[in-house]
Amino acid sequence: MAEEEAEPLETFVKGGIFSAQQRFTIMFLLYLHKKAGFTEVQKLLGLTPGNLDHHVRRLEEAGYVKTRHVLDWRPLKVIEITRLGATAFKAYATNLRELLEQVK
Amino acid sequence: MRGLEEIRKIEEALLIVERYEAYLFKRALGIAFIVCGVVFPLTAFMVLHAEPLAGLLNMSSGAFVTFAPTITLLVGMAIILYSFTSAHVVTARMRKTPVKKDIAHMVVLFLVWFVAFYLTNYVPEPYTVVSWLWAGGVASLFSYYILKRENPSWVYPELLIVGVICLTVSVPLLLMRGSQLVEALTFLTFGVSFIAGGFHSLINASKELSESDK
Repeated sequence: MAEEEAEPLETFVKGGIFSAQQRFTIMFLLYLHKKAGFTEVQKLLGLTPGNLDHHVRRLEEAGYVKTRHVLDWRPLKVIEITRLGATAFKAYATNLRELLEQVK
Repeated sequence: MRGLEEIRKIEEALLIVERYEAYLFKRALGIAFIVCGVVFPLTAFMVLHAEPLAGLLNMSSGAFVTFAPTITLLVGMAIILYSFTSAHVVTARMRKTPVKKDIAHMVVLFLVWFVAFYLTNYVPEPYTVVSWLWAGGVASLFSYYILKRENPSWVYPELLIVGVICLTVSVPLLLMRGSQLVEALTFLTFGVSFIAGGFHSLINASKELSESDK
């Protein structure tokens, strides 16, 4: 866990994984709701399935989200935030708050 | 200028989160209406026809009246609670004040519905069954008005649909009083009005997801 807590800040500063609006929004949504349906997120963001898949895969590669298939009244692909993702997003949000305070 | 870019990013994300929460709430509300439309008429039907139904299941009517409606109501409540907790409470957990306000509204709405149905006990016999539709209709319209008055953005046309259907259908049913069909048609109307309200909410929920529809 120690590694997980130390690494994320570096990752987003260097990799800019949250710099894309779509990835930031996906993470914000998942940080608040823990999970969301792939189709729902796709419609909300107005993306094509391929485009959303690209963003989700980038977040998955970073270990911030994971996807799984569940059976509801129809088969659903669900995106879930990981503990690492939640920690990273919290760190990013704290960093943003500090930045915005400087702007003020 | 990174600060301004970040502000714009947060604003856009907040709008999307708001739309998602509206979608979840409308979806949960739609499920709740549909469950009510199935469970309440079914429960009333089971209570009123306990003897023949218990006979079909080789049970005593006392045991049937105790268990069957209770189980039906519990299953219905469990589905409603699940749909709301998975959708709303997770969000509300982060905003403690609105949760308290929500509970106060829920208590007021519960009282409106309870009083409306309690008053049907005082309606004389040939009108008793139809009076359930009046109670449901009036309680729905009151709930619509109370919520809208409390917050102009809390407009729930589902309640209007239920109210209008129940009150409108009660007129021809009133003319049919004494007929064997009145009871069945009352339950059917009650169920159909709630299910119609529920589907309206589900359709509206999916519109929240696509920005182009708004």
